[in-house]
Order: sequence, then C-alpha cells, then structure tokens
Amino acid sequence: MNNFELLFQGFTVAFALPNLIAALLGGILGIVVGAMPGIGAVTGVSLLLPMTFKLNPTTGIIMLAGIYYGNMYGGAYSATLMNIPGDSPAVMTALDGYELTKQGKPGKSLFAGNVASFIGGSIGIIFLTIFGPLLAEVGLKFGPAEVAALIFLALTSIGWLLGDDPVKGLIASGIGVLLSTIGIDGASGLPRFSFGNMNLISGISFIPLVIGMFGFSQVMEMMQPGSSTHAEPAKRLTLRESFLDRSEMKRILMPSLRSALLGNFIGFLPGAGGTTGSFLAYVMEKKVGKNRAQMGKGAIEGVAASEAANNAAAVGAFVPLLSLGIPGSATTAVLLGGLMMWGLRPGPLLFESDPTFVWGLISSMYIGNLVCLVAGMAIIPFLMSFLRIPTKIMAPIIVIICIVGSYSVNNNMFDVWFMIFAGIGAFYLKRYAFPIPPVLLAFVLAPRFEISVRQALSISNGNAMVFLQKPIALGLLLFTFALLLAPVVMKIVAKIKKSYK
Amino acid sequence: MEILLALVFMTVSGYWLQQGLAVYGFYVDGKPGSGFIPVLFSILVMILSAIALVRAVRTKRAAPSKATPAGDASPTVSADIDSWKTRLQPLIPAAIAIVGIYAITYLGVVVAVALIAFCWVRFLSHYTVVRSFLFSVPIVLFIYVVFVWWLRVPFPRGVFGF
Repeated sequence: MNNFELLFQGFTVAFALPNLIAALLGGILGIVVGAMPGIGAVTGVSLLLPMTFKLNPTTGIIMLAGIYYGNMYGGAYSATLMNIPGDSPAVMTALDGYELTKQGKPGKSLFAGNVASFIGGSIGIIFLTIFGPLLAEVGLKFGPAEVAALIFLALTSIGWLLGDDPVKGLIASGIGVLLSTIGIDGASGLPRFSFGNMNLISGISFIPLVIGMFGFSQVMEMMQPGSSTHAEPAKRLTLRESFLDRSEMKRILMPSLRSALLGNFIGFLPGAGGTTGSFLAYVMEKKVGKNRAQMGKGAIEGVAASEAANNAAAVGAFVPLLSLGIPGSATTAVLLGGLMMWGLRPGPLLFESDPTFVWGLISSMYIGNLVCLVAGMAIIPFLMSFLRIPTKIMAPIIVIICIVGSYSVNNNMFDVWFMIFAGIGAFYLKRYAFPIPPVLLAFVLAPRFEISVRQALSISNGNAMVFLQKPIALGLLLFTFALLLAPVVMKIVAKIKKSYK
Repeated sequence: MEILLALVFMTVSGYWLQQGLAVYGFYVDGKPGSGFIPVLFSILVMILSAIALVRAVRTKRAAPSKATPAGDASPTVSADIDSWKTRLQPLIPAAIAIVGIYAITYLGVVVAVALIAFCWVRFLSHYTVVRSFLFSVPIVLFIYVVFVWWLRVPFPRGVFGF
C-alpha cells in the first residue's frame, strides 16, 4: 500500500466519533491553554497529558496532538493582544502583532495569524504524509557542526536585524547568550554562574524571563505619565473589520508559503524547533518580502511568516519523532513520553509495526488543523472584547497574571522575583533603545548552539576546521557571512556608482 | 544612564570572562571547556559595550553645543522626563508585585489576588469602592478556577488555608 492508501485508511480511524471528539476537544483546550501567558506549549501539553490517560492509545495521542496544535495557534493570541508571548516561537509574532493591535487592527493580526498557521500546518502535514520517513533521513544529516552553523546564522542575524542600532542589538543578543549560560552545563554537568544560589543551579526559566521582559515591563511603561502603550481601541471593533480582504490575503499568501516550507524543514532537524523556524522565516521575510520596509512596524506579513513557520515546524517535529524516535522540541519530548507510556516505540519500524496508529495520527492532524482554524476564528470576537478593558484595569490584570503565571512554572517564588527583576531590566533597556527580542531569542537558541559547537569540536579533537570540512556547515557559514557583509558591500557599490556619476 | 548601562554590561561581561577563563576553563584537554562559550560571548559584549560607551560619551559631550535657544520648549520637556515622579512611577508595579509575593505567601493566593486587584483599582485607578469590589471578584474567580482548580498549581495556602 502506498502512503495515500494508508492515509485514507487512517481517515477511517480519525473519523471514528471518539477520535473526532478527542481532536476537537484537544484543539480547543490547546488554544485556551496556549493563549494564557506563561503556560506555553510544553507546560500546556504536560498539564493536559493526564487527561488522556483514560483513553485508548490512538485516541489519547490524537487528543495530545490536538492540544499541541492548539497551543501553537493560541500562543499568538497573548502575543498579539497583550505583547506577552505565550511561548518562545511567539516572540516574533509579537513584533508585528502587537504593533497592529496598537494601530487598532488586532482582528486583522489574529486573522492573519490563524490563516498562516493553517497554511503552515497544512504544508507540514502534507510533507509528513508524502515524505515522512525520507525527510527524517535528511534531518539526520544535520550533525552537531551543521546545527551549530544553522543556529550561528540565526544568532548573528538577530542583533542587527531587530532594532535600529546594530551595536545595541548585538549587545542584547550577547546578554541573552550570557544569561543562558547560568545553571548546569549540559556537557560537563557542572553548575556555572549560579552565585551560590540554589535556584540558579538549574538555570533561568524562560517563562518568567519572557513574562517579565514583555508583560511586566509593558505595565511599567503604562504607568509612565502620558504613556500610550496599551492598545486600547477608540471604538468597538467588529468581526467584519477583522476579516482580511482579497489584497491582504494575497499579501500573506506568499510569505506564509515560503515560511511554511522553511519552518517545516527546520522542524525536521532534531532540537532546532519552532523558535529557530519562526525567527529564520521572519529574517527571510525581512530580506525578500515585498513589504519588508514595514516589518516590525505592524506588517501582517510579519505575523504570517512567524506563525506559518511556527506551525509548520511543530508538524515537522513529528517526522524525527515518529520515524526516528528523536524529539525535535521540548514539547515533542513530552509527546514521546506519552507514546512510550502506551507501549509504543517510535522509530523506523513504527510505520510498519503500527500503521493504524501512525496514519490515524497523521490523518487526525488534518482534522485538528481545520478544527483549530475554525475555533481560532470563532474566538476572535471574544478576544477583541478583551481589548475594550481600559488601561486602569488592564494594568492590575497583567500584573496579577505575571505573578501567578511566573509562579506556576516551577511552583517557586524565586521565579516571581526573577520576573520582576527581568521586567525592571527590560524597562530600562527599552528606554535606552536596546531591543528586547534579541535577548530572549539568543537565550533560547544559545544552549543548543553551545552543545552543538562543543560536540562538533570534541568529535574532531578540538579541530575548528570541522565547520569548514562539512559541506552543509560550510554553505551555512558562507551564507551567514554573505548576509553580514551584504550591507557593507552594497554601501561600497553605491559609493562607487555615485563617484562614477 | 546610557553610560551607566554600558559600564554595567562591561562589568558583567568582565566577570563572565574572568570566571570562564579562571574557573570553568576555555579549553580543557584539547577540547572546549565549560567556559568556552561564556568567554567568546563575554569578549563580544565587552567590545560592543566599549563602542556603546564611547558613543554615549561623545553624544553627552556634543549635547551642550546643540543647546536650544532661549524660549524653546525642549529644556522643560527634558526636565519633566528626568523628574522624580517620572522616574519612580513606573516602579509602582514592581513594588506592588513584591508586596504580592509576601501576600501570597502569608495570606494565600485568593486573598492576595483580591487585595492586589481591589487596592490597585481603588487607590491607583481611583474607582469607587463598589466598582473596585466588582472588578476584583471576577479576577479572583478566574485565577482560582484556572490556576488552582483546573491546573492544580500548588500555591502557598497562607493563614486562611486557601
């Protein structure tokens, strides 16, 4: 039987009433949990995992996949409406999403995000259906040197791409990397930079950091006299105003498609994840997009690029998970735990040994993606009504959510203290034009970068030439330097042209 | 302030550099040690902070020469920005959050959230007592239903036991 026949068979499994209900319930719960600042996909899936214990394995995993999916959709909502990314991939969505909200177009941003998520998810599932096991092998060609080169590309472009001042952007990225080195060193198992504090031995938690730097600093800005930070619309927004017209749909179509392809590929790479995917897609859009000048100032293309790549990467992560048993992200690691709990052993043999389960799961993704699109659209009016809350009331709500959300991550008050500290730090950094997203993105990407660099150097007995001997790594490094040098070269070319004239 | 920020970054990265080299090791047994990445990135941050510092000093030195003519509104605006009220007002949420930490620990999450919400809306937003109460009730309900009842987050129970 070919993949399509197996998929058709899978649909008969997915359309069984319990599985259909499980996908629906999982999708809706995932959106709700994902939209809550501070919860995030990993925590969301972990918290909802026990709900699936009473179901049979196929139904349980279908529901988990729905939760995972819904989380990816939901993460964009708090980023767009409150400038608090629910999870790291949504950091890029907040850049343009919140700007659109400030311009009185929150519905357009949410709508664009939903449509792009659907496109990204669909492309990811189609690729999983057709090329699943084959793509997993391509992903495996990315060893430590290649992954390090890929993340180096992301890390170097973060600083000078976000914000007006490349020096301040790069300082922000550097600070993010230094913060990520606090805690246990993944390679040697020794604690670093913990200052004798027990709470820092396990490192800094991302969620309190992101809540502080985005959410809490936002409230501090709201408290400034004459502040116009809170996106409080002057008039009641209707659902009709949120729909994208034909020209806007056209504007997001190409960014969504190319970002989905890139994000899906990043998803195949073990450990790269949605954050790298959404960031690189945003970078690509800023370089090649038609509306690149508007990126970061409220462009729907920015929201679409980030969301399409994020969702495509989320599905892409299923490829190494199912075919090789390697989780591509922290959330898929939780899913792997779920699979193993039911006695399923992901790996090359899973497609042959348990086709009913694998293809039932893949076909349920098509349904789950559609469910999330419809559910996401349905809750847009409710979400927009949230924006009608005046600043005077919004500020305490955000502060309370910041405190409770930070505590919930590790059930530890230290995280709340750290969140406040991060918020104050971010407030003053923003005041002096230091961009905040590079700190967070570098913080997320750096641990993987460090492990990959050190693994590559250890394998080659400390020979740094390993990065130049691998064709993929060399190509990525050359591309990075080309990107870095491009503005300088363009300036020189422009000067030469001017002097000739 | 920009000069101060650059100096802070230089000091922090200097500490990372020193620890990376002296304590964790840059290269150990021919392989990168625990201090490898901290050293590389602390050097990068130090160089960039030095550039930022030089720029900030130059800007500050150049500032008096760009002084605005008499009667211009800019000095008044600048004075206003630097006023103590402007500087301290953004720190109110931080002060409230710190009080919130102790309130949650000793009074429990329900009472603490109710108090924070009520006091903020009553005294900072200047709403009436009734409206402040009406506002704080749904917030407490939301936090209780989602975080305590549904997600089962084990908050400190405080003296009231909930």
